[in-house]
Amino acid sequence: MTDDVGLMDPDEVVAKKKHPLALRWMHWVNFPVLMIMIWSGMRIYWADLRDPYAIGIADWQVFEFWPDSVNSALVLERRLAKGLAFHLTFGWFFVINGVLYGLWLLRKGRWRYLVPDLQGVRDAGKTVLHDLHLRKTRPPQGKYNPAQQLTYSAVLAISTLLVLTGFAIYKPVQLSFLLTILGGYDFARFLHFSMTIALLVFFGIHLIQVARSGWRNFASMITGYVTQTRREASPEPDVSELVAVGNRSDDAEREEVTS
Amino acid sequence: MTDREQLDERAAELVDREIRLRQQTDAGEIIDLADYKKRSRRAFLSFGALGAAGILRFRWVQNRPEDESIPDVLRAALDRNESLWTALERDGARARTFSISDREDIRINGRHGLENSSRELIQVEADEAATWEISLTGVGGATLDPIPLSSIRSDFEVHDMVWEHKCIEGWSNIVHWTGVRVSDVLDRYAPGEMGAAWSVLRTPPETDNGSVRRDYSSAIENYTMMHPQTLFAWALNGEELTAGHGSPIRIVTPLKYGIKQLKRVGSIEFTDDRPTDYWTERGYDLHAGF
Repeated sequence: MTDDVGLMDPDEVVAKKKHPLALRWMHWVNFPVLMIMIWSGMRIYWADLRDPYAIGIADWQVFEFWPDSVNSALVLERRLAKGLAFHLTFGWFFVINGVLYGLWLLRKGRWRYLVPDLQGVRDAGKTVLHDLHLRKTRPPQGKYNPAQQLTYSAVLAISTLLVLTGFAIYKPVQLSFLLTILGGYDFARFLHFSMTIALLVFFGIHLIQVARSGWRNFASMITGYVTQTRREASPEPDVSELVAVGNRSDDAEREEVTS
Repeated sequence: MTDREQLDERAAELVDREIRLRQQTDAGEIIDLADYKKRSRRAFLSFGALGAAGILRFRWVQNRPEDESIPDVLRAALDRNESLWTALERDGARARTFSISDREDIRINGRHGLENSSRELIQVEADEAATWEISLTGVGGATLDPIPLSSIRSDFEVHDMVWEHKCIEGWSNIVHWTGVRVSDVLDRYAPGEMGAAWSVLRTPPETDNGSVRRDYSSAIENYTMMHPQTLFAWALNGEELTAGHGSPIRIVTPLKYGIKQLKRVGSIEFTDDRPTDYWTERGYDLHAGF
């Protein structure tokens, strides 16, 4: 093998590093921990048989959290004590994993990959339109596309809020300052629940997107590498394409100016 | 600067941005397919092995011998949680209080220790309440002089306190209690026992109107017993306690879940050994506090 790029076959399939080991670990640890947290959390929630939260207006309920069919399907079996014991034990793993992830993002400067800039926020809608086949081109992206950046940043915020509201309703006297910031016991509890639902919605979309992206993408979350042709993997930026992008943006801006 | 120059500058910025974005993925190490296959196989095997280990570990937790109705490792984790929070305990921490106008109705949730064998609430009549006593057992089992209810109601400063009563099931209500500080009462009736770590409160097994189907008990750390927001209460929302709320006297504190706030106090035992109580035996956290 030679280091001279010029002699290499650009159509040769190679593998390029995509996800570092630390990221893969933290990603996969979250999965079982969150499953246990949601399962034990539902045991706690269900202990109050009045099912306090529902979607609807006044007495008109569109959806109750949770219908009896869901509770019985999950075999929650009215064991509040066990639910609490699991929740208050495994919650620490979620906290530790989250803190490690936060430190890792800062240390490696990777938060820049994750948090969209202003242009990224503007472009997020374009990604969604592209995914829905309503738009031909996708906006420029780094490791994550603008819609992913927005979603993953939101998930980070949701997880942080989940942990903070969790601590606030766990120790409302010790952490009374936190409880006050989060709007009191009832509201913090409502937030804790809502953020769990938000996380479940994300999880659903995440699974659909992973299925859409195919095996190569899924495998990269396990192996760390994504297979592609040497041309795709090449670090040489294609200048002509970039100039074209520049011109395109130029045209787009002009339209905005004149309209 | 002309419009044209501004647009050129903007286009240059966007090109710069895109180059920066591309650098995020361009840096990745490239390996050939044979090397990838080797690493990929290793990664998938590790992934499968770790996944299986995780499932086995979860089953192991679930199948551990039980310590008071939950797997012993979870019981140990709950106890460790509590020693952490106790170590972090802020001196003089107070639960938030509310004004009397905020008070809400509260349902009767637990009837343990209050029912007869046909599961009816046992009423404590006025004449029985007039001679009600809370019996005391000191560390080591010595019987101390009991606390007469009449003394609780007349010898100490009366406090009205309004706080959020929290149930371990998740619901909460703002309620108004009238009573006296437990610390004031124990300072007079059990001054020698305050060095003990715990108080174990129990409902009386017998009343004038019949015997109790299932005794109830609650263990509370003495630092919580002596907290200024821990009361012997005889009135809820301005009304004398009903049988379902623990007439003639109960203990209340915003530092614990409702399961710890024993209704109808019959006796208190002081102890240094780690105690247990009705709900702890059934898998709940012994501390069950905030």
